[in-house]
Amino acid sequence: MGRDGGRTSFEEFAAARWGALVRVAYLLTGHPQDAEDLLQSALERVAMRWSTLEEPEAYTRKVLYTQATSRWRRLRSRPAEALTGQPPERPAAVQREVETRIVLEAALERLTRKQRAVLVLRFYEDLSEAQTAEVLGCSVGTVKSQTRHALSRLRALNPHLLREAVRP
Amino acid sequence: MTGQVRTALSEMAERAPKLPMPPGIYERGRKRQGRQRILGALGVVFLFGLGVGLSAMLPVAVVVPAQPSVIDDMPSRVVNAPKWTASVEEAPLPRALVAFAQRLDGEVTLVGPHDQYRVYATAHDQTRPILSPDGRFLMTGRGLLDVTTGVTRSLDGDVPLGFSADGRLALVARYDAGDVVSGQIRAIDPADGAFVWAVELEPGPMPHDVGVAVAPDGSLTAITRHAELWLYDSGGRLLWKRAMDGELAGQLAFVPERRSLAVVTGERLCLLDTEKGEGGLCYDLSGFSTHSTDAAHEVLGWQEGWPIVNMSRDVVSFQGVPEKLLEGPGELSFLGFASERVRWSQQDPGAPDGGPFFERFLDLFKAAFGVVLIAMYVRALVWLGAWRAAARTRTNL
Repeated sequence: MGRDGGRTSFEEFAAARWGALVRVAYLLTGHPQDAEDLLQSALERVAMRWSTLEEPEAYTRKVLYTQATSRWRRLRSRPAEALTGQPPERPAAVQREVETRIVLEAALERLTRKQRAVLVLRFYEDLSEAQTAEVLGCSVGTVKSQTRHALSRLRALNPHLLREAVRP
Repeated sequence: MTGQVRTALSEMAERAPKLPMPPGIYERGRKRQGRQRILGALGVVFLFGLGVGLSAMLPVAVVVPAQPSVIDDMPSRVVNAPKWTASVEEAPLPRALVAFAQRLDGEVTLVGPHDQYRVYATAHDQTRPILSPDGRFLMTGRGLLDVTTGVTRSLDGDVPLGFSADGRLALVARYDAGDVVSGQIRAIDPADGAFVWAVELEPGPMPHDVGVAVAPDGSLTAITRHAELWLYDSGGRLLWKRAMDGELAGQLAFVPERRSLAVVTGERLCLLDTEKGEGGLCYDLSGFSTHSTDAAHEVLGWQEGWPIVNMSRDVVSFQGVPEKLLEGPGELSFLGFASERVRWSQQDPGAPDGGPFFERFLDLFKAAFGVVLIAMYVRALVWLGAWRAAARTRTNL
């Protein structure tokens, strides 16, 4: 594959997958700018190895998730979010379902990058535990424990979710 | 609850901003790849240069040479150097009392005063090492090692032959190229490598099989090659030449304060009169040579006119009743010891001292240092990446 041919095929791939990848990046970061930065960084890494990739889709996904989890360390320069241990304030004038979604999204912000990535892979991309472990480069046991911790942390941050979950 | 999470994630994904795909991602990726390669190459060069630079900056350990008034006790037994023994180049000795090697192309073990052991890697050739009588210099295929500094001076291709009895001259052969053996026997000052004198070699057949010894007072020089013995005076004048069934008994073949010269003929050590080259007293060595080896017997010292002879593994004194003075660790290809200012105590030696802690484990420290440097380099790359990501985020904001 020549250099121009490589660029053309890469740009075709990136254009075709851009929308879906933006959504995943946004779920992983929660911020539009961070999502764009993460996705561009991941695609640059894909471009570096484009001519040797056999499964660009899988590699892109892997780079995106591993970059998202490692960016926790790299983005420490961002002002740290103050964690209060208190649930987010609930908007008073919204319907209960909307309220739950907003509260849940705010709670997602408080998870670690890895916990968040595990939830996105498991419950947004509908991957199995084994597939999730393969993408993140960790063991299935780690995926299980991260999932468990993430859910329990969400419950701790949003006690009313637990009440809803046990409601008949 | 997982259903709620699933729904929340899907709704959140649907609300993801519609970002346009920026142009030039592919080019930036290729540039990034180029930068990484350049950084990697620079890192390798940097680490290599830093390692070389720091090695050069390490202080050279120098010990004070043994004082002429100090007489050292010779060990009655030497053993193989313990593992992780320091190199004499890193941890010099005041002098070497004993030097031995089991293979000529391997490692020489040096034993200094008070059971201090050091090792010295020789060149990968079959050049036989030679220890000076005062124990300060070791001549090998690598060059001339000063035991008190650990510095090796190259011999520029000259072949080691021996030292004068007082240790002030190093004798080397400088052969001419060609099928005929010719060239010079050169005497140099081992301390600074300065040329002192030379004797021309008469052309002769191959191989390069030359032995040389200088009388303790420097007045005579004996040279053997191919069963012939030449004796020169200090001015380089040939005194006599005779056929000989044997070879010179090492660099200390001249008997101190006597006009005699020791030669080895098979299992006999015979003394020749230096006035006329006539034969005299002979010692039978056959009863002591219990170990088969290629190394020839040689005189390693004299005690009141009686020879101390290297018997390949052991050292035997022929003063009165022959007595074993030193026992080696096994069959050796090379065994030498200092003959000046030593006392044969016949006391059991202490445990071998492998040298100062840092010098003993220097290789480990160097490896650890290399790992730390690499870790620092990787850390610097991570910081650089974080700085660039933060800068890009600030630009986007």
